[in-house]
Amino acid sequence: MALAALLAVAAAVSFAAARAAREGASTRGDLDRLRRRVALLECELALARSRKPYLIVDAPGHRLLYGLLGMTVREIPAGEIRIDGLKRAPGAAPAPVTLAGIMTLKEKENDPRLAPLTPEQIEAGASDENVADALPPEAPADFRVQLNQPVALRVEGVPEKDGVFAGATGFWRRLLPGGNRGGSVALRLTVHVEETAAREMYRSLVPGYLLALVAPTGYVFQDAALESPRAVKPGRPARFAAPPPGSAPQGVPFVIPPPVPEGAAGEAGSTGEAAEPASEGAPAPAVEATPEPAPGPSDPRETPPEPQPEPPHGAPPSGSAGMGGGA
Amino acid sequence: MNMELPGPPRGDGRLRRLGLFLVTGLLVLLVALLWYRLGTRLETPPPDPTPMSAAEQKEYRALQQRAESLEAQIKAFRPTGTYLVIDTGRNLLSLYKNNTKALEAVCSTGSGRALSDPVGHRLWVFDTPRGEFTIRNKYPNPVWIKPDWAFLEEGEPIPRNLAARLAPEELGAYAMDLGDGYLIHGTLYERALGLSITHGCVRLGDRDLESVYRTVRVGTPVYIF
Repeated sequence: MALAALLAVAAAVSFAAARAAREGASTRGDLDRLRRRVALLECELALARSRKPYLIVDAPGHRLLYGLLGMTVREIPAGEIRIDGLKRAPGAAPAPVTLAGIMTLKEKENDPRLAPLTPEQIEAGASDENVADALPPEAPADFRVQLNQPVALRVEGVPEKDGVFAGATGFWRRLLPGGNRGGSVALRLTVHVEETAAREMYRSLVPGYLLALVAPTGYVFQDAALESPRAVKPGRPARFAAPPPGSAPQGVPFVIPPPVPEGAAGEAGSTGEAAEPASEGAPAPAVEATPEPAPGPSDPRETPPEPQPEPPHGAPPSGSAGMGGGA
Repeated sequence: MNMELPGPPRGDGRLRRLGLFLVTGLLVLLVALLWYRLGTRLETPPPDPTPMSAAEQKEYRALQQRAESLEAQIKAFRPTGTYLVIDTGRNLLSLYKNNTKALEAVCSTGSGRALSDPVGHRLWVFDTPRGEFTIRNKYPNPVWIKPDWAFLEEGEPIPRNLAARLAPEELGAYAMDLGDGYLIHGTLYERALGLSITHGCVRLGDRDLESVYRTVRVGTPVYIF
């Protein structure tokens, strides 16, 4: 009798195991993987709602994903994603924020916007892009990034060309721990990508950029290291009310880029700020409008240095559309 | 014949010992760094092969449903129809039609530099904004009205009259307005395409500019990352 009961239990267990195997998941390892996937999807939904671009640092998948509105617009393979400050995953179900979370970029190392050029420097040839010999300096392939959260991020570009010098410098660079110098840091994240990709990342990352991070299998983040997806504010769609037919717009405003007060350079040009629509309204009709605007004043947000003797909205000399933006 | 060989100078022994000490110290430091780097390297443990309990299986099914729901919600955000995607890192503009890439063009985007005007106490940051935009207007034969920073950059005095600000060919044959003064336009300097050198606008070569201009309409979404 006891033997029959034992056999029945064994059969039931094997049946359940076979059923779970048919479903493609039977182990706690599968459950752990799914927990991480759901935590990342929660982050991605919040990021898509923000309507801003974001970067997903997928440590288990060894890749970086640029996303916007739920579409992956670029994927960068990462040689190694090293995270210091992780904890071993507990046996019980961990909190989702310890599996995946969100960070916001505060400042990148040697950001050119932090050291504004003066007219004197420019006159000396510092930034005339039309002169072939005076192109802007190349973006760095190895840089640190400060985040609003207690996380230090370092991107290390691995030289694509092998050489004695590149190998030696790369070895020493990788030997030293990455991350921010000083400050209390809960996580140190070092991402190894190809040199070109690292330079491209430097160019694309600006203050305000959102990043999502997933913990590698078997590990969790500390509770206060990352933001929960609920901390991300949803954005408004960039709708634009088309001008009513027959009315000529008053030219493109003269705000490229919008001036910001001295000392606030780190905040200007951040993600999504300029994406805010000037006017909310009905979606633009799919009608091509090619009006002929008149030229506008130099900058409606600025006080003109001197009064302009000419009317601000005169016809341009060539009779073509006047533009206030440019270059 | 007795000859007294000159002994080594006294300072040499001390130098040798110091050199040996330094070399040993460096070696110890190197080994310590290597130990630190290799010792703290993460080892991904193998997945737990323990079968799930009944409660875990229930959680698994709930998570599967949640994942499907989240994927559907994320998918709903994805744009459809015709739209532009601009990669500021690679300086690439892609034109999509029904989620298929119809055109990929090398462009130039903002340099990220800042310019200060010590006299007027103004500051400009030459960055291409990131996010979601729409084409607000399309202009053939645009005439650029040079802003103050253009004169400051060239070391020229800011002109008093409008006529001195007009630059008829600078923006190329077409311009598309993204709002806040940012444009997609042409360039006189096609050799600089692919570099992050603009003042915030997106520059395209003549042929690509015409293709994009003819394809997009007012209201076409533009995504910049």
